[in-house]
Amino acid sequence: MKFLFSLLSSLAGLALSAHAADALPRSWIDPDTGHRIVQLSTEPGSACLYFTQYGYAANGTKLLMTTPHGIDLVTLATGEIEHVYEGRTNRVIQVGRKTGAIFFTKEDGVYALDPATRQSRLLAKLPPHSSVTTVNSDETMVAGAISESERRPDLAPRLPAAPAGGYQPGQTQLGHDNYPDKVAMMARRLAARIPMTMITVNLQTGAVKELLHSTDWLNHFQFSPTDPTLLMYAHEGAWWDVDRLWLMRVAAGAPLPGAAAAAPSDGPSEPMLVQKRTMAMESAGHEFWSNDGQWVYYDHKMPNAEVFWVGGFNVVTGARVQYHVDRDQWSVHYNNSEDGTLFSGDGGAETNAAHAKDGKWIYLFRPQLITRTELAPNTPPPPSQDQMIQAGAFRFERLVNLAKHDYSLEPNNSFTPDGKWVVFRSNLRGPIQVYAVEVAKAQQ
Amino acid sequence: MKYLFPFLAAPAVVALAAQAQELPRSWIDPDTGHRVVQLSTEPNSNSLYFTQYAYTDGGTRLIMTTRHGVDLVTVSTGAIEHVLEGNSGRVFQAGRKTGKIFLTRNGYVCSLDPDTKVLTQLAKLPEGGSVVTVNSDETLAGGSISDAVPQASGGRRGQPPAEQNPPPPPGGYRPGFPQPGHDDYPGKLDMMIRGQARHPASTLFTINLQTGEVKRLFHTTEWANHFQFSPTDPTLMSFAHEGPWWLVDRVWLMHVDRDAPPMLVHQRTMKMEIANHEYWSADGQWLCYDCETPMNEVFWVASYNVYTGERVWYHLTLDQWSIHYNRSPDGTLYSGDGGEPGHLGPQPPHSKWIYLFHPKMVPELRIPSAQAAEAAEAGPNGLIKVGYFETEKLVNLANHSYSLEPNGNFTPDGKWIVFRSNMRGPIQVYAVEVAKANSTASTP
Repeated sequence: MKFLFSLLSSLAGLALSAHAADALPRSWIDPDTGHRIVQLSTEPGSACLYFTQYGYAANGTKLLMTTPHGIDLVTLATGEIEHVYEGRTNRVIQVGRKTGAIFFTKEDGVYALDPATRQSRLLAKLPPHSSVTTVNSDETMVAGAISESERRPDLAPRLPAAPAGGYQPGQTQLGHDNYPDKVAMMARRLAARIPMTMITVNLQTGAVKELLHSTDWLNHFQFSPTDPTLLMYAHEGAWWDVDRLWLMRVAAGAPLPGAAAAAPSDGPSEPMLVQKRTMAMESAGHEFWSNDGQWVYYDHKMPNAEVFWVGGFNVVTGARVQYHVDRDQWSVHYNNSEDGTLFSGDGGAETNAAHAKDGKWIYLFRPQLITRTELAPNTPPPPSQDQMIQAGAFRFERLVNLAKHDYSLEPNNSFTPDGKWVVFRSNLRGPIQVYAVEVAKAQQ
Repeated sequence: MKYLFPFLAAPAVVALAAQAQELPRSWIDPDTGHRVVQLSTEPNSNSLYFTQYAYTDGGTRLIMTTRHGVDLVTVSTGAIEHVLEGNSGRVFQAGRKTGKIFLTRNGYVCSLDPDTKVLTQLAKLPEGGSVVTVNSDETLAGGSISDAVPQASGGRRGQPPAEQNPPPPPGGYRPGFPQPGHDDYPGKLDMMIRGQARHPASTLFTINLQTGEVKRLFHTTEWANHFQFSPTDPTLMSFAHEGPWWLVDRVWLMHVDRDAPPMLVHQRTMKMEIANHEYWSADGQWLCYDCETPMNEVFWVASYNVYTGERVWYHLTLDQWSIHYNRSPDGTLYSGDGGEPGHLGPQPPHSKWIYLFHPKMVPELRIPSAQAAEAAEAGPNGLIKVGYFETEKLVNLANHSYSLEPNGNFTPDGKWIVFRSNMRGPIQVYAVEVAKANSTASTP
């Protein structure tokens, strides 16, 4: 792959010369890390999906990118870009892990796009005022919520205005992930206690099932990548105000850890809180699934801005891990490699939650468990400790220097399915583009 | 107070010249700007363990144990008075009510009147019994009776009485060659592990210092240790389950006048989590302890309000970690006595200091409704309040060997922190002024 890109970079340079002021190489080695970086997108304003949304099609060989015009796929091995959908969508949900179809919503329905034929078809109508954001592992349903919060414009984010006349070449294009009003917006929206209904929509029958009525702010619905009835969702808000992470069986399935019984055949199960806060200003968030569907991981601060962990909960066994992260390595989002052995992080600016002075990097993390067997080699922990949290720590390697990146745009890193690259979006060259950095160090 | 010492220093130097001790008795640490005073003059003088209250005469005089017996030093003048000659047995604290010095010797609990120097036998200990704490109204002493056949009642089983320190080596102690202590030594951890496995069962008991009545509280197969009566509540006592800290639930509270089971103060939830080195706040409201989640990785000074159930935890960084912490009499400041790589505990790059810690609370950002919900759940079920420590270095202990643990504690007026050290060779007792030295003051 890296060799192809070297060839490509010169070609791309030619191809891109039409874009004024974008004569930068498409592939280079970060001098501060020794890792190869590739600019996957070429059109300014391109983005990869949110870090939890599966974005890999064609058996993991192509990455989905959203552009101002629609949807592109880039072949990871060659950098070749295909424009597979022209026009606006409401939301690109994800790539289906089973069929590789691209799921999106538009107008009032859920659509599937076949990336090979570029044909899209309406799968199911959506109820009014609803939004769905996740497809289950066998691609038979989507989940989301109904709320009428759009009738409350006072609750909407107050985003900074884009520059009059648009972004100039070389100017850093700001994202909408972080902005001055964000924390206040979260507090406003949570305090409004808008009634919400959590739903699934059957993609074969169109049947809408109501799972839960709540005045909590329900958000971040994520089906398990392997278990078609297991849904994770969040109580949104400023994280220190909410017990955020929940699991629920939306239909029949095995009991959740600690639950007395399996979900009834017509579902759903009772919601289960994954992480109960015990500390003022403790927060858990930016949760994501491991690829094998065994673990949910999350950014865990105990308390905010002071002690940083990546927490993990095994949804099958109930086991828990907590990997300690130092302040500079705290990341807006973490992710897990497909084989589960490595983690990535997208760092953070001093204005982000950890207030790190040297945190603007894409990181690779190698988890190490803290067992301290050297302290007492002949005294195994008693069985009473079996249910205790297993602590660990992340040993880090820097992959990309993001000194020039503005964290109004969150990089949203994810591993490619072959585990060889970490994909992220960045404005480090001005316009928002999609990049990949190689996990292995470049041969010098 | 600080003005008196410069006057004293000169005669002290003269007096000490005969002992090859020509260092000044009072100086300003050039690395911290705080005044340090050597309170003891006889090599191998010790202050008490950091939890043992050691102040008499309204808090103006400090107990020091020497090879010859017991000395009192007036902290404001440095005047030393020899109040007990000969075998002092085991000195365990000064009474907070009368200022009498309590010790066990020859199988009896004794009190020493610091004014008359009269030693009184108060109560005969039962076979195998030892006590290490006196309650706030000085009516009870607390400890345990071993199931094993005692070898030397009144002292530690199988060991000579603790304060019978050996004579100095031939040629005396020399600067630059720290006199080793017995607090930390190679193999201590093995001792702890073996000790926990083999420690004989024991019965917790109190002994009435007026009637001699022995009250057996309960029998336990745990290694019960570190008995500490509340400084204000005569019936409330904390104690520890000793052993490798990550294998024991260590810190317990009980009312010695009630037939109720002890209460576990800190429940571990993580493998290798420890709670350790507990101590009372001077007002008797809080039980404080070193908490590590997990050991050697994430550090806290935790505190538990024994009346309201409220918890406050302060986070520390690796380079603030200390073997023992302590709390100022007014509760506004904490001290730490640092640590050294190669000894028990984490391996901080450089934390050989006496520290003063200024506690700060983590900013409270929660929205009012979330705070109100928490207030309704205050007490044992409420969230832990969290803060962190800002560090002020008081004494550079670069020349100190941590085989001797400094055991920092505040004087009752809060103006000095007393500790023991071998930084000048022999073990001596020191005090460092909490306030920064006036830069215009003369330096002896």
